[in-house]
Amino acid sequence: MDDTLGIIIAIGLVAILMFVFPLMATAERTDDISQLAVQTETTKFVDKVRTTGQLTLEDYDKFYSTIVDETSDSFDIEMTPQILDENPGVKTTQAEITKIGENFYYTEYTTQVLEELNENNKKVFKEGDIFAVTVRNTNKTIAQLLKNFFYRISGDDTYQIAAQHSGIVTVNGSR
Amino acid sequence: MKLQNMAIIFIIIILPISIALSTYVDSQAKTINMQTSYDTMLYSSTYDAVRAFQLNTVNNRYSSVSDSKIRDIEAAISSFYNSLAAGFGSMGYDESTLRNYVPAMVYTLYDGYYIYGKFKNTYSVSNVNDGKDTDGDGKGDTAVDGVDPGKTSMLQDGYWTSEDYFVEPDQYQYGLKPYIYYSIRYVKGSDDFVVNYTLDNYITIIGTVDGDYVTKSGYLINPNLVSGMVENNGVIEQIIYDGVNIERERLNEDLLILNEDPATGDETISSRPENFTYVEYNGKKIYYDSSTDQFFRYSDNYKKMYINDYATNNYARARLRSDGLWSDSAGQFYKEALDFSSWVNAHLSDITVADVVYDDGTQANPNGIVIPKLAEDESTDNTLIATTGTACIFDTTSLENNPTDRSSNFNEHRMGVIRRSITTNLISAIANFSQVSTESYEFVLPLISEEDWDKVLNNICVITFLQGIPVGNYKFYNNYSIVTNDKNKEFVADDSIYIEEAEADRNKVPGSEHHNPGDRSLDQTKEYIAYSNIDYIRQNVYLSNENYYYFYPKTSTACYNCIVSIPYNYDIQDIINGNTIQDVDGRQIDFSNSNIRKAVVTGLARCRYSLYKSNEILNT
Repeated sequence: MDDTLGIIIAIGLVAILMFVFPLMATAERTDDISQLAVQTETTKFVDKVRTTGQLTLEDYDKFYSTIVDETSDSFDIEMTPQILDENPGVKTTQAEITKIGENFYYTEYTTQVLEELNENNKKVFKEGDIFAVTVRNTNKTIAQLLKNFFYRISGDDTYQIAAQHSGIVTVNGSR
Repeated sequence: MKLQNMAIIFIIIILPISIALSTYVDSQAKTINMQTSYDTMLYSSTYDAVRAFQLNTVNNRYSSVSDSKIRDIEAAISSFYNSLAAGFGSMGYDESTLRNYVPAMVYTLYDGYYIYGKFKNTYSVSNVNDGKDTDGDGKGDTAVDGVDPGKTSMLQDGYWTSEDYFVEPDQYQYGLKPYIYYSIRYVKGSDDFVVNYTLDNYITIIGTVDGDYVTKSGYLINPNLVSGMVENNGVIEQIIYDGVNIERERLNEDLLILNEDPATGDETISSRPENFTYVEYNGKKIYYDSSTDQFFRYSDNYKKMYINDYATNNYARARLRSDGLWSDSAGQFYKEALDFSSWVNAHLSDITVADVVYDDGTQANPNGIVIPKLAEDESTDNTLIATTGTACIFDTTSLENNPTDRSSNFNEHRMGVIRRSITTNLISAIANFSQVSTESYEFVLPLISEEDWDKVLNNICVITFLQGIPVGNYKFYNNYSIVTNDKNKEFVADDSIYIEEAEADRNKVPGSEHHNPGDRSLDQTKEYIAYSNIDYIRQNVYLSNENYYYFYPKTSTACYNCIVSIPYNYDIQDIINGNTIQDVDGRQIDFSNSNIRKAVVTGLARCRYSLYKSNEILNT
């Protein structure tokens, strides 16, 4: 009897040690790699918009499919460009439209950007606009599932993979 | 005890330890990741600030004027915050919160620097008229005036009295602190003067020298290296500097002109940029319009502004040849540098670092400039750098102390002065921020690495600090970022010029290329001409929203090889100094008589001569 209990506990521990821990470790490393890949792609995507002054539907689709293909996770892409107000005169008397940093920005959000992309196939930015993208995973990665199962500490809304990049657009996009 | 029982006990002991350890390592890794991502965001925001400054100054034809410069800098700072807020937005920080974590920003310029930060504005609102109740509702107009809008008790004659101010009259605010020059004071015998240094060998001397009060400024060179000046009616036809024969050059660039019909007032933009020759006078380009035989400036609204001023017209007319304007700025540069350097050598050649007196009245260490030690600096108690010893700083007649040489005593001393000035002012600016900040974090100047100091002392750059943001594990983020600005109108660094073939430039051969002066594939026997890298930047003509044009003042394209494979290029210092070197292919290259050296030395002199220098008016 004594023996059986010991063996059962031992088998349970062995199972945890030999399968679950390596699986968790591997799953976390996979997430790290996904994180790196998503960060790289996000940086590339944002920098392309910054240096060409335009965001095309093609670029967006390509970006989305690349990160999904590379990681096999699903993502929420949040684009929040800040657009230089073309009429700064309503707020101050001195500001010049062409002087970057002296005037005001208004923010557009993902749905507005996507709407414009679907309508015109592209969105054009001005020199001085700021383009910011945040990417977060929306599914549960294997590491998250395992963690939830064993630790029960991560909430429903936490994300494992998140990438962010932003910067000033340095050129007026061609229309 | 059986083996499996022992195994179970072992595992029961080890498992919690390993879980605790892995959690600890995980959280450490997260902290490091967070620090890295903050580093990236700080760097990219600083880069955006520099980029905004470049875009603003390149298109601002008055960017050298102080007020306009302050405006450009403030715009760049606001770009920094915009960009930082966009980066940190996903973590829940907004711009006003982030301001509490940025203790200082430094904008180093050619002859001094600005520190941006929070300070107490001692301008007092004690004038009770500021709090006037103009709308007559018995309450103060605005809280901006410092008057509690709800107060009614002390209203006298429609004005508020000083007791009604609910805040201290002296307010804290963010802004640029007064411009600080890279300066230091020397006292020796009856001599008592201040020298303002710059990023190169241009200095300004203000004070009593040999009994006379002088204000002089100029480039300090070795006067023995200048010879063979040929002057014709004020125009320097030829001058020899260190074996380089400096002659006049024909400079040209393209402009996109907005033409106005004098009769109707209609404005039309030229279909393509037109080419003009130019000379630079008082830091402004003067173009020659051969169709009307007149000189003009390119105005801020993209029009030709014909010049009526007698002196400017005379200056340009004297430099006009049959095929356009020929500049003698490089010759003028060496002529003026020779006059200034001869004066300095005659009067100040015995000054050493022991004659330095710091602003607190203390005499300098005779071995070098004392740099205050930073809190984090545990490596050494030796805070001396720039150990010039007993060497005479301003005696530039010897070959060892050629101010254009980076390792000269003058240059070591100059870097020591700049570093001391920035360090002392930053220490106090950041420490003061602790007093005015709403964060409990104690702000201190972090240790800046030697490589970063090298950037600061030889370039125009922006230094930003971000401190006190929690990064987990009870740690706080504390780092800085330095981005150099290599495309600006403030300063001509040795490597901020490109060269192209003079023949192709004169005839505007389509498809010609411009090169890095160190390009190994260049034919040393051809004639070259150098232009500032600013001239190759795209300019915009902004007429209205959605109606703008671009043009390039210099149309040649960048040579692929020499700009991409910079590590294989020759060193610009070797070219300027005319050294003989052995290149990677084993060839002996002697730059002393090379045409590339001639183009580089002439081009640099011309660009430096044309820079706007705020202290030049002091020259007497």
